[in-house]
Amino acid sequence: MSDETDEIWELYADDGAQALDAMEDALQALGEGRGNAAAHVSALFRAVHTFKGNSRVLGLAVVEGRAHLAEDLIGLVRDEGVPLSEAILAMLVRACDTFRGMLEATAATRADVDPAPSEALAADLAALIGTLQADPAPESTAEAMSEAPQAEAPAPEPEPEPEPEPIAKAEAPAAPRLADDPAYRKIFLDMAAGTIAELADLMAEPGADLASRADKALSALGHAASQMGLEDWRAAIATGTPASAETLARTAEALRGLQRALEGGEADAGGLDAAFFADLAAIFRQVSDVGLRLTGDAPAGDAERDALHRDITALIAPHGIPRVAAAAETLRAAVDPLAYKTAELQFYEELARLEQGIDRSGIDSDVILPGTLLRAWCADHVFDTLQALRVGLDAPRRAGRPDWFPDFEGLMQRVFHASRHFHIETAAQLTMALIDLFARMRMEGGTPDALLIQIARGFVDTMELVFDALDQGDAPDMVRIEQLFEEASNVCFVASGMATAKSIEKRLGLPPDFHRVLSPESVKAAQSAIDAGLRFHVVRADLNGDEALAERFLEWITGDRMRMITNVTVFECDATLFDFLLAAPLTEPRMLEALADVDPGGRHLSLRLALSAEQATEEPAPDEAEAPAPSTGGAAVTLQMLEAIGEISAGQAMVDHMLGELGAADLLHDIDIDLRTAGLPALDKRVRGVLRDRIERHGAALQRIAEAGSQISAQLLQLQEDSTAMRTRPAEALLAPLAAHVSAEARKAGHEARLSHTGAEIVLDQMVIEDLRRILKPLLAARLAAPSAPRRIHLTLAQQEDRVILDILDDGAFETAPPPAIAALADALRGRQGEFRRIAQPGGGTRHHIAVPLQMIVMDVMVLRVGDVRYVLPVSAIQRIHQSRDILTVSASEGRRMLRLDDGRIVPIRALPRVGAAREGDAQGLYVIAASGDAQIAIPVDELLGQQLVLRRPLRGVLAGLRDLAGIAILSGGEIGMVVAVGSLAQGQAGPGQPRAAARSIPLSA
Amino acid sequence: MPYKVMVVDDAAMMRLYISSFLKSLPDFTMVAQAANGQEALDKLADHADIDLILLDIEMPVMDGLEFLRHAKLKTRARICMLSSVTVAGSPLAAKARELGADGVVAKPSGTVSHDLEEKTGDELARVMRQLMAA
Repeated sequence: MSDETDEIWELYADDGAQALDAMEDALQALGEGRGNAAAHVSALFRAVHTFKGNSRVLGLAVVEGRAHLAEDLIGLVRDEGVPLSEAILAMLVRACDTFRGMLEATAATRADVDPAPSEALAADLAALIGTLQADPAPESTAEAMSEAPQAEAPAPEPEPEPEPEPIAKAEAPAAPRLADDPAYRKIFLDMAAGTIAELADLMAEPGADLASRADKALSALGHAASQMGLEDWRAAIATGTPASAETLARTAEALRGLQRALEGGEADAGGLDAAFFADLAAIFRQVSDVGLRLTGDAPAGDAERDALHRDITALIAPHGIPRVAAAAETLRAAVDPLAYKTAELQFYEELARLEQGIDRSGIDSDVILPGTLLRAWCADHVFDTLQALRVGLDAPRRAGRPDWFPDFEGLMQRVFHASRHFHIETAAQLTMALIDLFARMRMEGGTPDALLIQIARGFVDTMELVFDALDQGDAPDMVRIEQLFEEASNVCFVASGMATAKSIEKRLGLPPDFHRVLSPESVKAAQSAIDAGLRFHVVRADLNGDEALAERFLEWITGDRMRMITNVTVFECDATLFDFLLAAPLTEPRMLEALADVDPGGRHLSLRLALSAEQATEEPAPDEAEAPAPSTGGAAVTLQMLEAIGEISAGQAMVDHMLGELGAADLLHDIDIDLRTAGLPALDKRVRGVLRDRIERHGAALQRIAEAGSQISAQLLQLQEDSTAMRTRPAEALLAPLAAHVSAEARKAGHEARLSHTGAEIVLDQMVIEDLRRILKPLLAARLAAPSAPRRIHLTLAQQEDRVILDILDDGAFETAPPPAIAALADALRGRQGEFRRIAQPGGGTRHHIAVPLQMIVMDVMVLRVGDVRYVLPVSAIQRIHQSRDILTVSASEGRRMLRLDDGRIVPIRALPRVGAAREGDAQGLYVIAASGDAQIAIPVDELLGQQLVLRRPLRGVLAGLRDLAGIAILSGGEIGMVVAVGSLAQGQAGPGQPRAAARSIPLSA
Repeated sequence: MPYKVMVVDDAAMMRLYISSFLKSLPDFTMVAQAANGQEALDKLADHADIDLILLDIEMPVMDGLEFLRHAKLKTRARICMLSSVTVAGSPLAAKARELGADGVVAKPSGTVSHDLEEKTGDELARVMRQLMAA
């Protein structure tokens, strides 16, 4: 094992031990009730998060999974307002003990642990999380566990019976009422109690202003009731206003009744009880049955819809719930499937509003509550929702119009509910983060930029996979969700073309508290300070108590010699303090002196941390170092930007070249020649001496400029390589979502189908991935909608130097006449010089062979020199470099020259066109052995100049006719490289007039 | 009549900066300020006519998110988060949206952003006006 690997595992063990120590300390402090509970919970979360991240880096899936559950549990306390109970603490102590054992085992074996011993812990953690999400304040762990699913993976809520059918389009469900949220309900009840008490006071001591004071109090409560969605409260208050001495007592009494109901008495505001919700199950079945009939061959008639309406009315009439009654009426009036589905959703929504105040303990756990149903509905229709999102995101956008995709936020809300249904909290948060990003764009009055659209598409693809996995009963891969969350958090930095907050944190070794306050502006300021070589200091300031000092301090940190990067609030006991990150040329002692000048008493300002240049280059933490790079960051690097970088690079190379020529010129010698040519006398020796000194100083200055130019060239090289690398993604990003797409499309068509694939590891430019997605989706959708649709599809993706090959083999029947969508695809591809073939398979099944020409792509290439020409060859086509002079001339093959390899095989030699310098390759015997498909060739070269990433551009105009070339590329030094089409060269002829023959290596024995 | 604004921020200097910024907008006027969510809730009782609340998140006693939950019931005012922790797409910005914040803007340079008007003034004014127009 390498030293590096040893070091990583040692780091893992050390970091893990520290994290678990921190976890233990926090748990102990919380158990003893010491210190600031919120701070301990945060520390606990960070410790488990670190432990989880380290485990993920080393591929310890079991450890990571258990830690993830513990993190989720702490997250409920930290972020969701769940009270920290003894049960939670006991569970976390148990988890901590288990993690200790896991750390020791994994550090010793360098392998993941056996999942079996910790399965009970995982199940208990999942159960407790599930219960807390349903009811934030369980009495005990045991009680919580008795009601929760016993599974490690996120557990879906019970499915409604019967399942509603998918619909093509429906109104977005309304957001759940605030009254459904226990926290809001409590706030409202407190407020209502205050208002009722105030009314009582008014009645006890009526004054002249009784009516106005009562109206004011009732108006405020009425608004709150409206916000809560409590229509009955609002109606009661409306009836009681304007208030008078006569009406007040009646109003107060009505409010008390509603208060009792809302506090969770025997029935809710509508007088609903457990039996009502139990009876709803039969109604749900009827509603669904009628819906199914409407889409079937024998549509439900008026009589069936009337019967349904009658049954609903019979159930709801005693409770007087008009909104549900109205929804039921709409349901009866709906005669076509689409209208019916819309009404069905509205019906579920209205029922979901009734959940407030019901005593859940009296309801059988098998009964589906309306709120659960709403989330289940969103989950059940999530593939339709995702598809609608995809269509909206792919639709041509109306530039500058904030309504470019009016349904976006509504559809995303559905995904949010669906995520909550499956208890995938990270996905729910990610959904909200995207809503935030798009809402900000909307506020700016424009359309989202390409980067945001790209992230949203990635979100849709990923969520399709996640929900598909859940649908199949598999545990979804949440890593991609977390990556997307990270990308969403970074999007404002990337879009600004700046370093991300995390990169600045790493470079400066910033305390974690600063993470949440680094904005694009502060990152820019930090980057500028780093570039200027300034030192960084963290100064803690107590500013709120002394305004004069605060002004003095703020004047100082915004002065000429100081740069304020950012600052963060720190709560210490009862005090609110601020940590300022400052950049200045001052050393630590000078900084202390300066602070003493501003705060002579030294009571309000203190230097917490000085970050030296060494700290600024600190290595990243292991979990961050190994984290996959955000894949959509490259979307910010447009092709135009890449071209611009290439052109600047070329310009710089030209400047370097001219400087080099100037520097190399012997000016004195040139002057002598010029003088002689003009018939003038030669220079005097003393004059020559003076001139030589001056010219040498001039030459030295030129040399310095040339050196600076070389540095810029090197930076440009790095920039070009980084930029091109940012645009590439593995084909997995295309193929994995396609698998989910196939499952979803097949499901829509009423059957099952699976897509398998090979070639996921091939790296492609983002533009190519998008291009392939646009081809494959309609093709697969058309196949899956065919009468004899395939059940199994295998897609093979391969890349040649100038095209991507897709080979799609399925077991569906061959269609003699292709569907219009496939015919249109074939025409479009042929119009782009691509290929499209449909082939019937002998044993049944259909093969589609597609070749998609590549226009501008990023390639990893080897740069070769042949004469004065630079060629580039895709690294993927190169098999080896070979040096030999063992050349055969094969008379049976029309005198072709062949190279004998070490293993005895001989391969045809294919020379590239040479310009300039004499042939060296053959003399040196230097060959690149390249392959395209089965064909193998030996290319003689003069020199191998190195490997680099380049952007290949198409050949245009007369260049387009050049044989054996696939394009051109600007190389990192600014030169032009000719991109070799290996496939074409391998098929090429040895000389003019000779027929083309494919190159094949021949075993010598043959 | 200019829209009435309450500023809720625990940093006294920040309240001064925001107040100064609001003076540059003729269509808005600051009528109340509070140093934490609880204080803001108390002040809401006396300022029922507030149109807009500019709300920080990280505050002692009651933070901005908790205030948001309460204030949604107690006031018709629009609520715009103005915090150093609501960088676009961040978890806390997402949480604020989930809890019903009408607008979300990030302070440019941390909790105490002396350059608020210079760097974020245009964006904040645009969001405030859009919220009032909605």
